[in-house]
Amino acid sequence: MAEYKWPAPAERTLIGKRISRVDGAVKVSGHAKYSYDYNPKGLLFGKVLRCPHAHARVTSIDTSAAEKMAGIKAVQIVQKPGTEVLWQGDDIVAVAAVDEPTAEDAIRAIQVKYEVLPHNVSDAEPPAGAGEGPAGPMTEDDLENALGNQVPDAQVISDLQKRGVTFQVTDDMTKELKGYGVSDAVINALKAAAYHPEAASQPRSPYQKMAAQTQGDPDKGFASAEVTSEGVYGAPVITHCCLETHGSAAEWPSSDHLLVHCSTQGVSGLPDQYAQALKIPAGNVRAHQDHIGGGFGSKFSPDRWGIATAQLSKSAGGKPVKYMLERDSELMTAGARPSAYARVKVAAKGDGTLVAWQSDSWGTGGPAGAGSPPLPYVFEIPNQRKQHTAVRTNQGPARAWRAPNHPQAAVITMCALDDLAHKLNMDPVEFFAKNLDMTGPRAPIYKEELPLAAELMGWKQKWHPRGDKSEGPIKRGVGLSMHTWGGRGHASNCLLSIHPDGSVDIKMGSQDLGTGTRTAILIVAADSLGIPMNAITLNIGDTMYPPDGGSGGSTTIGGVSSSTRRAALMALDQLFAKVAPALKAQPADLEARDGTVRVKSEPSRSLSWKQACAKLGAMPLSVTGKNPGPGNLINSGVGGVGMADVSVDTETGIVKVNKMVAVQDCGLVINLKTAESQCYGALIMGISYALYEEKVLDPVTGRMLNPNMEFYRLAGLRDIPELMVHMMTDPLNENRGVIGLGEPPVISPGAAISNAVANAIGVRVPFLPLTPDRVLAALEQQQKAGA
Amino acid sequence: MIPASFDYESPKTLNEAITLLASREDAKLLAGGHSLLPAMKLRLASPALLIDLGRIGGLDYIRDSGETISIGALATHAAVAASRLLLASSPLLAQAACNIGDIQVRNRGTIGGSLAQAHPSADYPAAILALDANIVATSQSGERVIPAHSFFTGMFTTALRPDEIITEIRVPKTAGSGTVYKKFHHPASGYAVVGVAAVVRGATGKIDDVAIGITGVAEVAYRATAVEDALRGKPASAIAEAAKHAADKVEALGDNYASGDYRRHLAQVYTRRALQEALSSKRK
Ligand SMILES: Cc1cc2nc3c(=O)[nH]c(=O)nc-3n(C[C@H](O)[C@H](O)[C@H](O)COP(=O)(O)OP(=O)(O)OC[C@H]3O[C@@H](n4cnc5c(N)ncnc54)[C@H](O)[C@@H]3O)c2cc1C
Repeated sequence: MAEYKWPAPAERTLIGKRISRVDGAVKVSGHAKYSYDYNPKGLLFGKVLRCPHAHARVTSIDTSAAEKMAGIKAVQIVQKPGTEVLWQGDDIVAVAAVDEPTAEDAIRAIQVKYEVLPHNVSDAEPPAGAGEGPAGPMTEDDLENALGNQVPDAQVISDLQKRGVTFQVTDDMTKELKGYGVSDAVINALKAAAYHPEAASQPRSPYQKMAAQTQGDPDKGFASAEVTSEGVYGAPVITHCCLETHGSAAEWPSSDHLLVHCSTQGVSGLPDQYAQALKIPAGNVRAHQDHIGGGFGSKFSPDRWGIATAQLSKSAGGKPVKYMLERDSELMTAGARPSAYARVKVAAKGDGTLVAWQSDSWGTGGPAGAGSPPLPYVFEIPNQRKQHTAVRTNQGPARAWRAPNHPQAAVITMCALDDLAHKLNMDPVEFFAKNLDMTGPRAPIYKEELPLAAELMGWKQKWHPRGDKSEGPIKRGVGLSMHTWGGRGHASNCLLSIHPDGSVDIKMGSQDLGTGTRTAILIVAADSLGIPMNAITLNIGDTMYPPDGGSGGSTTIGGVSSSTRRAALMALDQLFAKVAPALKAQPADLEARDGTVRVKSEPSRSLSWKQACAKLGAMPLSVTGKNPGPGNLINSGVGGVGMADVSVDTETGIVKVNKMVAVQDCGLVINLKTAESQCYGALIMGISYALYEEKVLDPVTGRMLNPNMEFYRLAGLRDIPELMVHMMTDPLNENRGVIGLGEPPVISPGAAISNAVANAIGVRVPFLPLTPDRVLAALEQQQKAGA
Repeated sequence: MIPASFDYESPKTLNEAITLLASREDAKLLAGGHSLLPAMKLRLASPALLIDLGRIGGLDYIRDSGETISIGALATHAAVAASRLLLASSPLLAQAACNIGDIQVRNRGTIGGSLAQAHPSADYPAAILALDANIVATSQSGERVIPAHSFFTGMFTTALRPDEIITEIRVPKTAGSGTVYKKFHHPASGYAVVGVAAVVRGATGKIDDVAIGITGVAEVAYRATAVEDALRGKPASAIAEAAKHAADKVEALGDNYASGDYRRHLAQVYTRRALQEALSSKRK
């Protein structure tokens, strides 16, 4: 039996090397097919009429004129009259037509009347006392919020018992909750909860104050401190702005079989979601995706528009219907990263040792309020008092955004710590280093990463006390931040077949988000089987293949690399058993290397891979490697350090990033090149949210003011500075196994850039993005304070 | 993002175009299409007939007319930016043109289209105003010469009558003056958040005359007369103080990228930077 472990460093032929992605050529040449590119013959085009109001009730819908239009093949009401709509851009009616202009004309011909209801799109600081007082019965949102934010079961149960609920608890609902892993105790409490339907229509405060959390003795901690810093920090709601917008093409090969080409982060997870909505068996749903143009946490569901697309196709006799969101719909409805702000007080002894933290934080994730950032971030300060208020708004629904809650937590914590370092007259690198023992299990890695990052940045030469004193309007400064993430591999199944002719193929329901998943699978398989990567055919992205986890939470690399490794080792076990007699050896004495199967102690006794596979006889061998499974191939928990060097034009307020550094560990690196690419991409995305991105809503109309890429700006080529990435690949890290990397490096850039700007201009710009007007306003305040 | 349907004509001569334009009220001229087509896709404009000027030959010249340089309305931004004639004897317009949008926009967009569009953040208007250029409009009743200062009448509106086509732009030569176009690009669209066009005549250290056109700040580009008045006959050291009047009495536009206050502030900073640069560039 094989021992399930990674090959020793000297034996690795591909793992850990710098290998170009296998889909690079098709992507740069435009041959890669995205869901957007699926254009079968007879394709119909979908369009969706969207609610123009931030909060309204649909009172009537008249589709008769649209239905009569030539070229209209189906009309589907998505949200019936009577429905309460909670954000601008929510789907109301969908149509399918022979071409896009006709579909758009039909949308314009539909009459929808609304009762406009009062809205709130502001996530400004809650007034004193907001959200206090007795909480009424729990709504579905309250429950979802509690469950989604890991509120302890005991608390949820006691809330259900004390407060009751405003909604009818159905079997479908409890079944669904069970499916999400909600405990029986909570489900029983939910079933037993008192039902208060009348409370559902009562106006609710937009503020939900969560229970205060205390650790140690914060009062004593602050009293013992020699230096205390106070400030307010935060990051606004931003969107995912996927370059390939959300959407799908759906068709019905027969009356109860659905085929969807969907832009998704979780192929295997789609059938069940379609099946529930369309009332067909999940096994009758086939989902397919070759390539995806970005998801970042926002593409796990078919969404209302996806279900509507499938319904349109059904009404149109099963013909394929494609509907991909327009850019404005994408920005308005397809995902918002919750905002988070905090008033922070943080204190240290004179030598820089952190002693106490206090934060009053708030933020919104749309109608459901949203979760709280993990504060204080990375540093377990001994004495803490924390209080979070979730603000319910008509912002559009929150979705996970690359490392949910962490970039916000980093901005709040690392900027507060940087301000404290300034008050202590300490170099932030020394100040952070002084407190690294508070970082828990990752402390040893931070102790290596921090000095390394400082060296790559040239920190010693560049850092100066706050405020660049040089002549002229351009000021320069450096800043830093640290972060952490889990990243344990998800459930994965790798079906690997070796054929008597020597060919090898792999089938997995996983998907390649552009992170290099295809390449990683092939590297592991080829390294393990001792054959070249191009000798293996890889099939992914289809529900016809064994199910695999969704690509979220940086879980894919751990999942697919370990299931593939196990599959390859299992396959070799079986192959060696067939080949051993021919080599007059025991199976355990064989190895597969350099395109041969050979005797370990006497490599000249060998068969070529092809000859060896011929010993299989008539039947291929087929195995399924799984994760989780035997052996320790994966792990969880990474640390990382980010640093920024910026120039600020103090006359125009423009911030220019000169250089970014990322030092990152992620256990055993499968492909150094794509691992570094993840970090480069994360740094660029970080520059984007640090300087530009914000979902701006008009308080009066509740509508989004920047639903286009002129005013919802992303970083472009001209914004990208020198990027320096260093992956920690020493044996200590490698021995931990494979750990996910997609999210962590995007966490620090916002805080690092904010700290660099403070270092350059001598004053804190409290909120991201660091737009010119905010920079100038901070400078003006500083001048006033100085005068 | 789909325009409403429309008819399309592509006349071969200016006369045909003029006749077509006069014959239909719901017609619009199409030049480079880089303002009109986006507006049609957003259904901000839904003309029933497009008259494409692109097939009319000989309207894209840039030639020396003695005191002035004459530019045909269909000259592209790229042609203006690269014109040796302009660069040698009236560079300001070329300096503005090379700042417009990106390569694709410069290769398709035309000077006539840009002026007729009168976008509040377009680049040419600042230069046209600072140069006191003239715009020639042609209709069935003949040619009419419109001076720059009375051409731009409001946001997206000009002194053009519905039946007129811009055929030529006449710019004076600026030999002996320093000219600079200083622009703060909108980071996504490339339009001017603020654009300052400056023509400065004077000996080293002293300003004899100065003309400043500013775009992007207000509904229409304007001449910064307060700055001009404060500088005529003054030493260069007066620039910093004078530039503070760059947006005096101007009602500034604001949007979600740049507020009105921020634009006024930028106008001051960019006017100062433009004047200082123009004065030093002059010596070349
Ligand atoms: C991405 C992008 C970025 C841009 N960035 C900038 C920038 O940075 N700075 C800038 O100044 N501009 C910018 N523009 C606008 C660009 O310069 C346009 O080309 C210009 O504004 C219009 O010229 P056109 O030839 O394309 O005109 P069209 O779009 O064809 O027409 C514009 C208008 O002028 C009318 N018209 C056209 N020709 C004539 C004529 N001869 N006589 C009378 N009326 C006429 C048309 O009927 C229409 O109403 C940008 C455009 C885009 C798409």
